[in-house]
Amino acid sequence: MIRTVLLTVLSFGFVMAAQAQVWRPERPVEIIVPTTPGGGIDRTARLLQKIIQENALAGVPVSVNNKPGGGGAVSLVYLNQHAGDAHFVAINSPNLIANDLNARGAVKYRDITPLANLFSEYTVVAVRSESPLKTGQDFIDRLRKDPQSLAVSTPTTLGSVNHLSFALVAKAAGIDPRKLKAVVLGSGGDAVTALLGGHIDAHTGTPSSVVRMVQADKIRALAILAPRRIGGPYANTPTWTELGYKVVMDTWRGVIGPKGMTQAQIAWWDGVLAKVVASPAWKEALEQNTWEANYLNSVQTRKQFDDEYAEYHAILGDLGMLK
Amino acid sequence: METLTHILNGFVVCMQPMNLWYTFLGVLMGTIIGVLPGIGPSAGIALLIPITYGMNPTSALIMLCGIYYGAKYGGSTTAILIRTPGEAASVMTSIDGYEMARKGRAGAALAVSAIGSFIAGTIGVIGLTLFAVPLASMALKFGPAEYFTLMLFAMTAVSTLTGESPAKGVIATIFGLMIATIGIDLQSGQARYTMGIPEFQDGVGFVVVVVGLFAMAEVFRGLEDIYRGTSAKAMKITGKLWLTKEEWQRSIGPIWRGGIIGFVIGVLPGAGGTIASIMSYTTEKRMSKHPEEFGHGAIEGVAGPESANNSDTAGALVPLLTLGVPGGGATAVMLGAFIMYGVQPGPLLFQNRPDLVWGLINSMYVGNIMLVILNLPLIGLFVRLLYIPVGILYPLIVAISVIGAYAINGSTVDLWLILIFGVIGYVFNKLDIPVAPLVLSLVLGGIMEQSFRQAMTISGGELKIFYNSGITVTLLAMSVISVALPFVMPMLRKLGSKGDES
Repeated sequence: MIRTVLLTVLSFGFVMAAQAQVWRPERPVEIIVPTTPGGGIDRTARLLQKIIQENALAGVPVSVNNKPGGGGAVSLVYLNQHAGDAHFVAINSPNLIANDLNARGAVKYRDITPLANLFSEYTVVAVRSESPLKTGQDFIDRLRKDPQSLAVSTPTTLGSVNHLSFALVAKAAGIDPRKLKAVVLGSGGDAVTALLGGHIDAHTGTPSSVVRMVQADKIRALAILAPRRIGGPYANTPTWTELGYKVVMDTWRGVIGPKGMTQAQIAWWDGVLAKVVASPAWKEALEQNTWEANYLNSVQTRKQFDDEYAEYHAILGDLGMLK
Repeated sequence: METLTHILNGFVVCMQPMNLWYTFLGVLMGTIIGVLPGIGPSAGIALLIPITYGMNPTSALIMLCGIYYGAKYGGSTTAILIRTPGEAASVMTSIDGYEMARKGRAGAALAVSAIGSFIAGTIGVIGLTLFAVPLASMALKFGPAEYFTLMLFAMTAVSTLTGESPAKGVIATIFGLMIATIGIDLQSGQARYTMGIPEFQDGVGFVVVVVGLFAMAEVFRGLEDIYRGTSAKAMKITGKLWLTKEEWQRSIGPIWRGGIIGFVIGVLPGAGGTIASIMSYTTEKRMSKHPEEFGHGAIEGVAGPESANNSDTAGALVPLLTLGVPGGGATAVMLGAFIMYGVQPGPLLFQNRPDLVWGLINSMYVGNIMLVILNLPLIGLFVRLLYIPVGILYPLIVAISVIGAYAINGSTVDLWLILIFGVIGYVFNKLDIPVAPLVLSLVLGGIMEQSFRQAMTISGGELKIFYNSGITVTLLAMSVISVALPFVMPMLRKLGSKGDES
């Protein structure tokens, strides 16, 4: 009896030692979603789950767990309850950093382990097709004359990435961001309805939020806050950089892990996620959703978070919204 | 003419055995999801999307859509039997439906819900068939100012929902408005009344509040009865299980009106089934010859709202299909599903994929027939719930409420909330404070405040935005009339009766 126990303990010790070099999951892996089922973030998680399972990348079952609440704060607390356990990862977005700056959550962005950036959605500035604003320059000219002359929707709250985009564009053109008229109309869908109905003058949001209307010529994308033009229906939409305003704003979707992950655990996830983004199913989904391929590994993602924190900090300061 | 051909082709699509099967599967799952509080249509659809991977898009969307309108059928069951709304839009049903059950008319209440849902659901689909394309522009005419005046008009219904004491009605209304302000304010990005609890940042869930106020409060009331030994005998069915002729005659009007109200409200993005059912309820109470029966088991108070929340689903598909704009949670999830199948809802959908659009719309006629056939025989089974002794029934209500509340966000904070709101509901009941105004102001308060501030931002603080369009002026006038009517009517009657005397 004692011998069996001893053997078990010993073999367990060996396994542990082996794990120090190469980690792999032993139990089902859980992907945490900071929203209710249905939105873009949830779709990303379920796509990830599908690709990992269909290609047997993990060797264990993968489940998706929705932990909505607190604009993502609840999911982060839950994630860090599993500190050092790489069986738990979460999908996240720039809200992680914006919420940190807005002092909305107990978990700071530095308290988690960045694992990957999966793709990017660069913000577009759009108007309805009847609008007299034909180009990005028209938009700037109007705001220069009177920053209050355009009501621009910035889903889904003040201090959101879309709001920051609007402020960045204005600032690059020498307009005081505090004088802008930013309207929050709930979800991106509500904003699109209001834009089509002519209740607001312009909308800042993800390319996917207006893509159908762009294809149907109901909405015109003036310019995009991307480093280079994105393809598909937006092939003719210039970047703000082309227009002479060097601004980029990225609603990325990334994967994060709990705090205290080991190098071996991070390496395992780097390997799996690199395989995911190389799969044909992933590429097909990117195209369907007008998501831009922009995979970054764990090291690059950490740098992106730091850069973004600095950038958001600056622009929130300009808006007078820092706490 | 071409459209007619497309519509007829749509019937061919939806009558394919495979699509009939998926319609059935969808409405069946919808009914089950509707019965369970907490799991609403949006979560239900989202969770079931993975099983549609690999299906052809038309069949998949027919099934998901079936879940959506099927859930509205199921929602009334627990509302009537155990005062637990199975779905947010069934909240008004838990007022009069449950009172009907206490009077032994549970069978009739369930029957009128099913039949009303069927008739109104079909009215909604007819509306969708005929008016989808022309109505698309109506949804666009509603901007923040229009929404504010619409909510203001709906809010005037408080006077109808208040019982004998206006002061108590005001207390309930203000309490509802206070709860509606909890959470991050979208216009400023500031957290309000969150008390440091992260779960409160997204506000207090509507279903959580009503499950507490209705279901848990009922359990507390029952416990008191047991403790005092005044516990009522099980709610035996009196008279026939089915509707009596009189009950049926009283229900026809509300069903028709509810069907129309629901469809129109449904077309407006953001308004939703709960507002539709509340507006139907107050309309019926105002039109009724016996308004005093409302709240004590008036069948109109079940027939109207249950009809309205069903035709609302067809209305909500108008902006989704024609504009690609989701009006609420469930349609937002469906929009995601559409995109996943490579189908782009929007202005071009009716031209590019007529087979899919009309196959989907026509499947709703079939689905509604299936639902009424499915639900009517279940009534006999469901009413047996009432014969369960209270010692088992109350724990059962608690169990269903707890599971339902937990299922929404998987959060234990919501469990505390249903307990707290259960106590509040019990106290309100003791003090004779009506809960209906609270429910109304809780639903409307958030949208009303946000749309007011959106409008003010857009107009730069000018109030004239509220009387700039025909829609806002009409709605403002209707609000004034609605408030004045209770004061003016008795005066007019007095004048009238004086005239008779002379």
